[in-house]
Amino acid sequence: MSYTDELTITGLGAAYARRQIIADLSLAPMQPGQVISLIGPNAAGKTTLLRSIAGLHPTTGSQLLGTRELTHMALADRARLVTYMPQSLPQKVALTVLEGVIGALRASPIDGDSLSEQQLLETALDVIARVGIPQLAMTALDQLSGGQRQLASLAQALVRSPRVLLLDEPISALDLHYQLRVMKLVNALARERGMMVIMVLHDLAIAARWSDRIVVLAQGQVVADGTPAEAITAEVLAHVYRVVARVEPEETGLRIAIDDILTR
Amino acid sequence: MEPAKIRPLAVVKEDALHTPAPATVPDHRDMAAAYRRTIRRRVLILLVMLVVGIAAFALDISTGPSPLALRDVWSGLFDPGSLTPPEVTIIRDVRLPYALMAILVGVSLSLAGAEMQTILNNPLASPFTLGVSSAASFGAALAIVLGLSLPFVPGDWMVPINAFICAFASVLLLEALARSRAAGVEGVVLFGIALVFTFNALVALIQFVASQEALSQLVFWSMGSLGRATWTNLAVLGLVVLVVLPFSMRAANAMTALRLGEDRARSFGIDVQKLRFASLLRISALAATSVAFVGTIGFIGLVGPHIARMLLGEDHRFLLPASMLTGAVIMSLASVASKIMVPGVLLPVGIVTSMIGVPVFLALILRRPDRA
Repeated sequence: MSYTDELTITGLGAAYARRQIIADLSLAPMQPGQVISLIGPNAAGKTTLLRSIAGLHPTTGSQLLGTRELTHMALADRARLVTYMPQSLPQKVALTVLEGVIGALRASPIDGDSLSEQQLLETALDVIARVGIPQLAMTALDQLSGGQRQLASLAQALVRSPRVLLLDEPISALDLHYQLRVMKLVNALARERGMMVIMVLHDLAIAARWSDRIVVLAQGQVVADGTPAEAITAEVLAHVYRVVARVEPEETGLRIAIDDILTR
Repeated sequence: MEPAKIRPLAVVKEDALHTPAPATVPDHRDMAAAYRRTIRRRVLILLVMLVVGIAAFALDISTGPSPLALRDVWSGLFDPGSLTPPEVTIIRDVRLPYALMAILVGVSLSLAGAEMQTILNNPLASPFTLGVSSAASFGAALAIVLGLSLPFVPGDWMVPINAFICAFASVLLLEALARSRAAGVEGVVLFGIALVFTFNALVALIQFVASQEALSQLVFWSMGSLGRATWTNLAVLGLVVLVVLPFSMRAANAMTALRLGEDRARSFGIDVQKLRFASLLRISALAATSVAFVGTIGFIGLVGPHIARMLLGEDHRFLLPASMLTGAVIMSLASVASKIMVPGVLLPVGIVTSMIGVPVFLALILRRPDRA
């Protein structure tokens, strides 16, 4: 199965209390099968943008998935299309990794009718194996390390195989092996199923290497949007991060060197 | 100033590099089998708890000023012809309603506590700690001391009706707060604690102006006693449990998902606001009805779910029934203890549950840091 619907965001606005985080933000259509990374400084509105697409935050403007408007869609209907992985997993949860993943499937039906117990179990085990933590399947979530929890959390999002997968800093706590593994996995899922992956990343080199498209946000505005080479330039980095950087294209991504100077 | 030079560690432990990779990765079939074993074990634990509950229930009936053998309890319930009429009366009319009330109150308060802890995401939430019981005491005080109640309520029912109304109102307040986006879950818990203090102060005020007789009646009420069990009360509470239970179980999967975080649960399509609201309605019905009939009984709603969680984890399909069973068992055992702790004296059961509950409560608090 493969998906064909593009996601088009037009004039998006989102506010917390009275503070406007994102105002009138528009993005060119995001394609199914693409891996899109959101980068930018702290408090740029990256998480707010993800949560807005997930329907967790009231928004203005339009979010069109194919011909369907997501903005006013009921949470349950939206959950069939979009899944969001938050930055953290609660600390004290007396569920195993496997139970957490099965719980994600059981929470609401994904394709109309619900799966049998056997299918639930198989689907959950498949995802846990692909994420690379089968040895942790029967371990309680509150006994995992930070990185392991992040992987368990990722498995909970992946198992629903949404059309649009939203990941908020999915690799921030992972070691080198798992960083690479997760980036390869989401790229593979995007190619195999046409899943659209939108994620917040802080590591620019990884974002450049493993994304089809990069959106640079600062103060709720799009500063740059394009291929990694187009979006990550010395000028953009100087503007949003206030650093002096040298960016050179490489065979696999970009070579980014940051000088030891803060410009402001 | 020159930064201190750090001497690079130039030694690579050759042995460590050649340590073989750790244990083999389990395959699907092993994991599936392990999962099924866990499920079977849980069903087994539930069955064991059920048997323990029935045993505690029988023990509760057999204990009292004139001790009866368990065999006589059986006969009294199912074969009354083989016992003397006074024995049958003791078992059927005195001890049975009492013991049934212990079970029903344990089930209600513990189920209410389990749901409350999940939807408010707080291990210390329970009808007792968040002001529901205090509100009920206030309602009872209004009836006992000031004779205030709704019009047309018969005298016998004034205390339970008042207790119910106030308990229900306190949960509605919590609900209203939970629904307003501003407060957040922590706000609800703090508000609940504020309710405890407010109602306690109001009750103290009423006690201050109460007559000697009304005061002793009120104090006795607030100690929580199963002695007020009547068949009518039992039928009402039983009906509440029967009505609420299917809705609780239907929400079990959503509550399990909520344990994975509110944003995540919502992204799975769960309307968390609605879940919370419906759950608080169930909690108020369970807790308010129990407290109305037996008075303040603390800690069952706190301790019951915790024990269930330690035994079975947080898959709510198991946690909810397990909480009801642990509640029933603790309450029955507390009832037994209330009859035998001071020979010849029947202690109010609320005193006993608090005496058991406080140490457990402390243990839970002291256990928290190392799990963080």
